[in-house]
Amino acid sequence: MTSDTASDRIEAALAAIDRAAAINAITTVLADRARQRAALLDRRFPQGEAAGPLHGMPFAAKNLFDVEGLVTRAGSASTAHNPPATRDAFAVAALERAGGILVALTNMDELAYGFSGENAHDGHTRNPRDPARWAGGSSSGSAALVAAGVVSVALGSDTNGSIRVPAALCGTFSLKPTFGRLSRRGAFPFAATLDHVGVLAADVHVLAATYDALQGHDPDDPFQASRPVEAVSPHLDAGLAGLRIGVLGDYFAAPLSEGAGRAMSEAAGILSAIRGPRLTRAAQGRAAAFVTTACESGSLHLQALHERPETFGPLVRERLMAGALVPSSLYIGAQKLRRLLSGELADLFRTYDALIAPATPCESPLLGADTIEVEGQSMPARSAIGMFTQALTLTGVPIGVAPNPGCGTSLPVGVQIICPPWREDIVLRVLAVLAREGFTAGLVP
Amino acid sequence: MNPVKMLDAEAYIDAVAPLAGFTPQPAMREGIAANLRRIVDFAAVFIEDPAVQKTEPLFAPFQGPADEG
Repeated sequence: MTSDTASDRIEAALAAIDRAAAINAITTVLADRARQRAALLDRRFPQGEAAGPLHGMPFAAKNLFDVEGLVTRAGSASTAHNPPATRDAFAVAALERAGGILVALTNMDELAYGFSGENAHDGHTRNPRDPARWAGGSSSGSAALVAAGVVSVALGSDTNGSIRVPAALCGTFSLKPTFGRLSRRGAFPFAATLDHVGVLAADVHVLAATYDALQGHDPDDPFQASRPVEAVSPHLDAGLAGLRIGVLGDYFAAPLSEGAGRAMSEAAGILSAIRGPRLTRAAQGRAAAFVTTACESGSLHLQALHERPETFGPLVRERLMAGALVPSSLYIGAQKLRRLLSGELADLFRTYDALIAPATPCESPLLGADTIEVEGQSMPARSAIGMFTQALTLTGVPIGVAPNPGCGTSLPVGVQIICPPWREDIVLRVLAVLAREGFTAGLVP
Repeated sequence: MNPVKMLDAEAYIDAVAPLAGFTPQPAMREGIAANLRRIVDFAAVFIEDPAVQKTEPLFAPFQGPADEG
């Protein structure tokens, strides 16, 4: 806690937002709302008491979260006809109850359908480590703002890797909690059985405090599981005692750039992780997640595709239209694969408390790149960058990302920390150990 | 019959898109067909696996006893 007032912190954040305009990470600055909220906190707590663990902390949110009085854009012009939100998303309200202050809504891939941070309507988010490169997506602006040091925490969403990929490419910590853990009410949907609300942060303690503030039952979210609040902050310093950690091999072992490979080796060394566990259905898991996403998102937008197809960016529109036409047998087959993949992962968790895997095969590609070359393989950039995150997404398990400088250039990479359902506490413990041991050195603003 | 093997993307779009409620403009047709072929290519990675064929579907994570934490 600093001695600054909430208003001081908001003014500093707004000035930082101005300075970071070149990375195009923001679509809406909420200056008036943030100043009013800060003034209210300063009046209510004049002696330095705290409204909550996030007292006076500016935060940003991907522009798919509802904010009262604004139309929720989800990075698309196809949503412009929607009425303004009548209340804040559960996640936004929860962070403000804990003392946080929303200052900005962030750029994203249109309708969350992408890993690059490119957007036909709002322009591309640029990576603050190298503005000629992707921020990664779809939570591109949230990752870029945190990596640029404008805010220390931001809300994102993850369907196939939309938090994990930009966290790795921009160099921030992140957490995608267990499917159903956090309320998704007021978060514009993408693929109903895959969508997660989550957090990107510059610091593990901030990540944990923010995640803890987001927990809680929401009777208005039919997808939320019935779970008690299980705070992770008290366990952050528990270390690795009693944890058996494995390095996922085979599918997750290649292709890897030199930097991504170094990061995995370094993480495995720090964590004394055991090489050997295999998820034999990982490639099938990625394929089934691809099919599931196509079907669920195509179905979601079917009416808008019929009524106003011109309001979608062309690449997203044609992907959604194709998804809307997929034979049901393929969708059902993907859900059968979901059961097999989840069962195989559950078997691994009988032996391991956590597994690690690369977040991306390589560092951030250049904006406009159609392909990436990794270990001699040429792959389509916009899909291959998510090959390691998408392979796990059907299982809904909690996954954190620890950023790493890779080869020591300006371009970071990330390692996924994969844990059994509802064990976000282990994810955060492992992230805290990696941070303490210098794994993320030089990346945190 | 395996739908992966029987799919002719262009013919399929012409037949099914109107039933789904939209008629793609000619300029969109090629892009939709390319995406549809891609989806089918991904489905081919798992759809014919005998283990997949004999398994009951799981429509969201953590719906079965084996998935409970």
